Amino acid sequence: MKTPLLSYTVILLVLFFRSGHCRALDSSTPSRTRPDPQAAPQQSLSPFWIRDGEEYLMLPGKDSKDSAGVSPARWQMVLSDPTFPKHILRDPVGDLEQVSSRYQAERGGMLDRGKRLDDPPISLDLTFHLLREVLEMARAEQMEQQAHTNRKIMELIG
Amino acid sequence: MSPGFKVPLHIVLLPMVILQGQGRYIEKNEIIEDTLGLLNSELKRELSEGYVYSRSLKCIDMLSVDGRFTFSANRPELHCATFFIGSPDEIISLEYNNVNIDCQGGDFLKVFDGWILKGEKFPSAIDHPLPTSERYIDFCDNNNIRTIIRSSQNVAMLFFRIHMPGNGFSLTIKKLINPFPCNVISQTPDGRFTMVIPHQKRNCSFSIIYPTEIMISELTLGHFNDLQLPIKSCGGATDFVQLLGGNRLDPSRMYPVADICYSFSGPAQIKIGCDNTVVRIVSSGKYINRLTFEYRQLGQHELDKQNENGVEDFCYAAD
Repeated sequence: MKTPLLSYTVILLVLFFRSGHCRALDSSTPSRTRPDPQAAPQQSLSPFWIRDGEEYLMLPGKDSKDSAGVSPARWQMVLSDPTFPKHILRDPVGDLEQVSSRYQAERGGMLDRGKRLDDPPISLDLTFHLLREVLEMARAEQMEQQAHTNRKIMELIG
Repeated sequence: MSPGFKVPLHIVLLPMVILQGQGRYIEKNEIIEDTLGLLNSELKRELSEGYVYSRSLKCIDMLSVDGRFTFSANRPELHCATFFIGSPDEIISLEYNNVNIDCQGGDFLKVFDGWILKGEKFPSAIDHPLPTSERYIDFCDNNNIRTIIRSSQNVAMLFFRIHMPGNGFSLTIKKLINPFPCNVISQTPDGRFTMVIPHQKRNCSFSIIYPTEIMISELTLGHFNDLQLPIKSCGGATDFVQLLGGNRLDPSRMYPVADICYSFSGPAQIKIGCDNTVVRIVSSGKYINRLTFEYRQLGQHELDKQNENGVEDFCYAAD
């Protein structure tokens, strides 16, 4: 009884580690083949992606140019961006693709409801300099309208 | 008629002539009355009902006049906003007249109660009566359809996104009087303003998006009959005035330049060489607080000078 149970446990463990789940975030390119020992250090140091809300942040690995004392740059790509490396989602396991499709469906549902609670507030990136220019244009328009009103009054008074 | 009789007769006749109303001819000038009547009716027809200012909106625009405004997309417009600003004693009333957008297709039309730049809001979250989520009024929200929206202060914004060319909207803007303005963004870099907070537990900010010199002419903190004087230290005061400076829109993220804890009259001035200058009154609601001040934009030569107030000029080096 114990021997079959032990055998089944060993088989399950072997299958689990061979599936490559734990390597999903370590490599930007999926590989079903056994990794080349010479290439292993490069793979473990290659960039990886982290999901942050709706965005995926690509953090460069240790072998990137930024590792020479400079803080690593961060790239942001939205899931729906056409240049988003879709191959990242084609993990050998296939779960990430399902998660992605579920995410897209959920996002569509949220849009339908008109509420996106986890979104940052809608804002406009405008400098004070540009804001003042637009404000001065609005003020000029207001003065022009006031002048028009004054002309109307003077015409009516005669 | 004897000469001796003429004079008394004239004296008797003179009041009779006066009492006929001839003397009141100037008072009751029919021509003037007609002109005034004509002016009133013409003004009412021409200036209010008959004439409505209108123009088309640009993707990024600012409005400080009443009227009817239309936006029609010639191409997909995904990041557009319109700023609204009125006089300090006005609030903005926005009414949708005609909206043709595709909410299901990702279009939106959202009014924000205040201004928001780079995620920073005016009034700040702590000074506004509504939470941030309720300050956005979404046209596409079926649960909260509102065609007339009023701001809480003299500024508001409209964010919109339209994918399909030909879609768009039109709206009417009116300004309504606000008798006790609290949070204000000044339309001009120079001016004078009196802020009164009558027994209201609220904090009010007056923002000038220019480097300015503030000249306070009068400050009344608390009622003059109230024997409960403010605590001597501003740290414990319930009512005081803050002068803030910074390169941000949100007053809660700006640097405190000075705190004023006591009532006084007489000019007190300070120069703040930052992109944004804010005069803020903190009120407990126990008193009637009143602040009168003038402000003027600093010239470039003043910005280049070293600080004169003994206050760290953290914003002077902006240029």
